[in-house]
Amino acid sequence: MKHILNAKNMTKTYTQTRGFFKRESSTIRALDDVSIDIEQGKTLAVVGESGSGKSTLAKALIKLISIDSGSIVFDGEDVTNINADRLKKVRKKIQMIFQDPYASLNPRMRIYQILEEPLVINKFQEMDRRKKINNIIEKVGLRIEDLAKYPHQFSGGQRQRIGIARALILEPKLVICDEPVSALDVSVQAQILELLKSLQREFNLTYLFITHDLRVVRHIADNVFVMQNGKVMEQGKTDIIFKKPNSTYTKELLASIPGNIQRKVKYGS
Amino acid sequence: MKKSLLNINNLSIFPNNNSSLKLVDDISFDLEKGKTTCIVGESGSGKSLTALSIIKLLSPQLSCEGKIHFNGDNLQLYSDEKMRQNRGKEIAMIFQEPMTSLNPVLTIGYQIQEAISVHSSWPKKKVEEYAVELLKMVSIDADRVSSYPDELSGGQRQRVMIAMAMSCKPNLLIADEPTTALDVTVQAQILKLLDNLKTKNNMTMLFITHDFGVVHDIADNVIVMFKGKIVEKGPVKQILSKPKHPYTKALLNCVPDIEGKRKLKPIDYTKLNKVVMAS
Repeated sequence: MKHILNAKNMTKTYTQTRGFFKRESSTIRALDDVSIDIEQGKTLAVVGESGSGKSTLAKALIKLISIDSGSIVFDGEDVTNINADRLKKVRKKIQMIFQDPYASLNPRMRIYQILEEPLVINKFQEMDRRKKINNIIEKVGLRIEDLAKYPHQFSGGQRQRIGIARALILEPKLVICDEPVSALDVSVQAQILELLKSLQREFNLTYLFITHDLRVVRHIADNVFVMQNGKVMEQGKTDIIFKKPNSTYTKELLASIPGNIQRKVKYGS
Repeated sequence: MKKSLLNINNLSIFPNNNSSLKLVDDISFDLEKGKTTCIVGESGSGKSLTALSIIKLLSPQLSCEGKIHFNGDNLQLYSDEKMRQNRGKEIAMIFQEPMTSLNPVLTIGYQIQEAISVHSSWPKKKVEEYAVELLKMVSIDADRVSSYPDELSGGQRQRVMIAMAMSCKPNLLIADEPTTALDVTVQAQILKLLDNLKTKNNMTMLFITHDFGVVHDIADNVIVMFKGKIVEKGPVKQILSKPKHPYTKALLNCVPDIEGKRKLKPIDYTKLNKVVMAS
């Protein structure tokens, strides 16, 4: 069992100030002594409600925010206090897929330009760029003709496919998916989940999958990481957590799943 | 014979400038009194337009055709003024995004009192007391009356919306994806609250959703819509366990189950279109 990422004892606090004349500040612990190991080639799902710190965790791992204390080792390299030059090289190997396919694509760029941008930044030759773009667009189920179009010409599901293509074009090792299917219809959600699964098999990808939908977790994740108020409540294999949850919070989350067969009685009756 | 509160006959909705483009195409259904009916469908299937046409809040660029009878009265014959009196009192609606449907510069107490006083001529004192009572009904502390919407969480805001909608004890409550923007644990609380209020007040509910889990929890009857048409309707048990229409089957195959054993099968639209065309 090889780990692609090990993070130890991460903490991150945010300070909030309130009041105009009388300043009051309060501290929020977004990450409170969180340690996480991500197994290579597997999917680790991070579950929690809004405000539980799951997005902060993702941002900390991709180094979009700095952590107050703790350490992060990615692919054998300590990236906790890395310089900007090295960071650029590491970022090539960690990519992100965002929640909102409408907001995460630049409306004034053609799909070709959107997909080309990461390649330009990483100094690929023109010939290579074209080859890679043509290759990836078909992998995510779109056509080469689509490259000349603008984002508004696509549906939500198709846009999410473009977002996936952009994340995968640099052949990353770790892909952080921040609620990639929460904005989509169930029918489209099923397509995207199946696409992510097949791409994982093909490219031996590792996913860190952030979601609040436990039904999706059950489907895609090998391991689960449950968070509440910046703390880790529970972690382990998906099967085990779903069958025998230990913490009361996980139990509560499981009981809240709509259509849960374990909760046979209808409300009120 | 089951009593129905709302009958819709041959309802079609289309843009004013293109009457051949049917956004909702010749649908008919009844809402059984005191029951919850769910409309399920993907985005663009016309479920929200159907709801808006009942409460007559369709965009002026859209026209609708067909008959909508509420409690025996033809809603289309109502004047704007009559409809305004009815809206909120007889038919109330809750929207998906609680932040955009509350006014950010007024306290929630004021907004609830406003909803009450539009439909009654009660003295101010009584209105204030009733507003507090409504907040208690949806489990919000009475001292929150003077809070502004941004001081409340998403679930609390949706509770305030429910309190406003319930203020005149409507006969019909239309809920347009009221829990889609909420966390699962909060969603479970809100669904429970709505179901309890429905039972207590013998209210009829029209619930729009795309989540089959929610349908399972709250619905008595289900209507499945696809491309502006009703493809299947019936009691919840029948639709979820023995769906007849290929679209309902395909849609149910897309829902991840909690056991995680079934493989997800994305909808094959080209195949489905042929089947739908043929029927």
